[in-house]
Amino acid sequence: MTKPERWKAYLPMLVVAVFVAIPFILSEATSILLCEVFCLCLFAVSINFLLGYGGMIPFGHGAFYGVGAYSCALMLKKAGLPFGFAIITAPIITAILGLVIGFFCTRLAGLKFALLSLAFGQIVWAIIYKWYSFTGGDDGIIDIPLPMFLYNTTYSYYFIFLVVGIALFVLWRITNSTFGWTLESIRENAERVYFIGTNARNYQISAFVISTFFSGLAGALFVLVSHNAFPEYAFWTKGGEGIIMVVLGGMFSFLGPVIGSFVLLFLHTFILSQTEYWPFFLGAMLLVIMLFAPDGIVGVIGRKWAFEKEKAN
Amino acid sequence: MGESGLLRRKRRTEMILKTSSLTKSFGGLMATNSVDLSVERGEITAIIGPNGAGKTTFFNLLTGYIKPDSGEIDFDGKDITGWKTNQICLAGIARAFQIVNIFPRLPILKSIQIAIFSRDRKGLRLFSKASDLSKDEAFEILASVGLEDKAETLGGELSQGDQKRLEIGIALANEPRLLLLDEPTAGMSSVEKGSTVELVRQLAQKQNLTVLFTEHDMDVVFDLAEKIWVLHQGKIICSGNKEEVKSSEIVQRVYLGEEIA
Amino acid sequence: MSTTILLQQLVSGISLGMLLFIVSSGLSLVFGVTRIINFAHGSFYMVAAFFAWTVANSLNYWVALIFVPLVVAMAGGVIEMVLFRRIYRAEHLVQLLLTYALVFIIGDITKVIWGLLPKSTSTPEILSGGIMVLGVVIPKYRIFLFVLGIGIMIGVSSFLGKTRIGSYIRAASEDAEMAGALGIKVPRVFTLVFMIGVWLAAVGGVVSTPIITIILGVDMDIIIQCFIVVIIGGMGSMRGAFLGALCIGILDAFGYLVLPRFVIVFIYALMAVVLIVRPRGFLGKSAE
Repeated sequence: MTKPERWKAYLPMLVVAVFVAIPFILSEATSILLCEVFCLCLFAVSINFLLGYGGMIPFGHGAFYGVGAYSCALMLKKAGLPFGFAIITAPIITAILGLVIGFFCTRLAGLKFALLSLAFGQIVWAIIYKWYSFTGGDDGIIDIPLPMFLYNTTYSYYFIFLVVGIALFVLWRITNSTFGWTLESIRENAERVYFIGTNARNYQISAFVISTFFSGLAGALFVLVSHNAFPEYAFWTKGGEGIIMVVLGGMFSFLGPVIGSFVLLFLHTFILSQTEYWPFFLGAMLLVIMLFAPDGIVGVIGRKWAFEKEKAN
Repeated sequence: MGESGLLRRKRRTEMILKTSSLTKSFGGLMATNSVDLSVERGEITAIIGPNGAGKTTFFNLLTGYIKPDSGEIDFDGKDITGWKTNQICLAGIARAFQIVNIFPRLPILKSIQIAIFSRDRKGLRLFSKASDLSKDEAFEILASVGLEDKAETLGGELSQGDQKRLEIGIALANEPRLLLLDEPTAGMSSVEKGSTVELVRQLAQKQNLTVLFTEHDMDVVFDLAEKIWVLHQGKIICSGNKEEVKSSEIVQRVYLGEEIA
Repeated sequence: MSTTILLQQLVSGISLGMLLFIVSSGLSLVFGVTRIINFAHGSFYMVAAFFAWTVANSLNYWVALIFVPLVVAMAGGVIEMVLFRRIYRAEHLVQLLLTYALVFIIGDITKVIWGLLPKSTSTPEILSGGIMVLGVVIPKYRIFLFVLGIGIMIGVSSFLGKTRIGSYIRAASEDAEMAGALGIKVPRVFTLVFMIGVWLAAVGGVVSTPIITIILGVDMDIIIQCFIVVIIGGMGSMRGAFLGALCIGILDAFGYLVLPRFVIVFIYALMAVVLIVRPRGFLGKSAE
């Protein structure tokens, strides 16, 4: 194998090894932070499934993160259901909601899709926020009963790492399947796709369902990290954060949102420790990216590599 | 009086496409006015007419992109009136667009593969590995339109002429029995036009394809078409081979007379 | 429910609707001509409100009304030339995120200058108090808002419809390339239109100060409402914005009477319904 090929084969294993080692090397606070990153990473990748691969702008996806979180939290606390059941059912509930919302949103395109998705998202948030008797409204849901092992930071770290890892692997396989490729062609030219024999809308709806399933899973997992659920988890700015992670990392690659989520969360933590003006920094960064590097970090690296390869030849 | 039942049946199945009294109007405008058109299996047929004659609307009706107000479309013995675009495509009609309508950021091999997945209805395989599927067949299709050495090029990076070839390639990936070409040589140099005409002729022969195309360039029409239909303000005013069309008074008055002074 | 309360709510709703119209007409105008949805439109509104508070407290309200929108509009012009010019041809997502980024930036700048505490100005002398109409006391300020709204509607429509520059703007919005080929300096037209849009947002911001608390976060509140107005009325249509804004204003006002807890849902539900049932809105050009 040539040098870059050897890199490519060993890099994933190296990365996994590093993550496995972290609870032993770094502080507990870092592990907890990383758990949050894992959840947001899954959320961002699920958004990118629609955005980068499907060409749709899901502005209201925060609602699905919230619904996943609340479904899990409510099942654990109010219904006393077993943990495994809650974790599996929460995403399913979210996906069902996603089917309904996706059905309507996919009738539109571009900006209008984004605004309808935002409208639905806010309606969902408002329901969570206002339905005090069921969701606890602004008080949120706290004191959620979890299985013993999840109160241990290291075990919950590994658990979340494992689940997110599997989820990402599944999503990765889907993007490389005929479904994923067809979705990309819909992104490129939805109209043309009908003329090659495929009902593009059905694929868009299916993609929406898949995306919301994993967004819901991300939210449900976050409950395990935070041990609570608050209406903010469903507010539209959560979805906005997700989109920023996607765009920062690079929306035309699978790993882009992964990188974006890590970079964003660490920047957020670091900047906030220095100054209160994180929004300014975020805005400035987003501005620069949109003007000069709309394909994100991965895009910039990709172009640099291509350039180096050209030079070498 | 009239042909025997046997002859009539034979004639019917020789017609791969037949429209009866197909009508479509927009607001007050009659875009398609009771059009009776038939295309023989294996023939290369052209539809000509001045701008605004209704050629694109006709293609839109044929491919289910818009629904007719009245009338019928029969394809290969089936009544496809009112069918949806994707259903019509799977039934065997493929279309190459006048303004290039491809997948700009996808490598062209991938574009063809996706079209093949659609044809074979393999699009829903969530866990297959798409890159290896139908790769050879996709290559063959690229080769048939002369693009095999650019397989990894992104659609948007091809030259205009190559994009047109890709258009045809994507349409071919459907294994159509009827290929609709919307102004295939629009905007081309005469050299490019020549090679496109050759390409279409070869494809029609090798793959036993029926071709229906619209065109503005009369040289291309007379070179390629075995039968010509003339459309004017949504109505068919003449049909026949090139001598019949050239010598038709109505056509000369309305259309050719303006073109060939 | 007494007629008095109903009438009072109606008045309140109409005047809020007028305010919303003034602001959202700017968004609609900019979109109609440049095809950009400016998320930061609400930020200009907010900055103008804070700035007006400063000016009104040190000088007076009327100076603020004249002066502040002009200054903010000029700042808008600079931003248009430096930033927006680069993204006119970019994809929707890029435009959306870029203007969204501006919201963060302007928000924090506002925080630095004016801080977190809510502010408000008092109604100017001439306009305080009310007039008795049909047994109901209508605050003079609300009448002022109504008149201002109508005035702006007529003024902007006339400007677009009857002046030479207005015809350039209309040409550029129909077909920018064609307009350029005809010798119209399209970039300058876009800058002018953007400045007018920002000016409208700023006017809205200034006149909102006596009746709406000025605080960080009003930028998001107003922009979402503007989106909804523009969706209902159709993008790019003055009349549509007028209709949409009135609807929202009245819906808001009566919503508070009937189901105050769910007012926030109403607005989003209305947006959803319009997008599902009639995506093109009720007047005006379609967005795609």
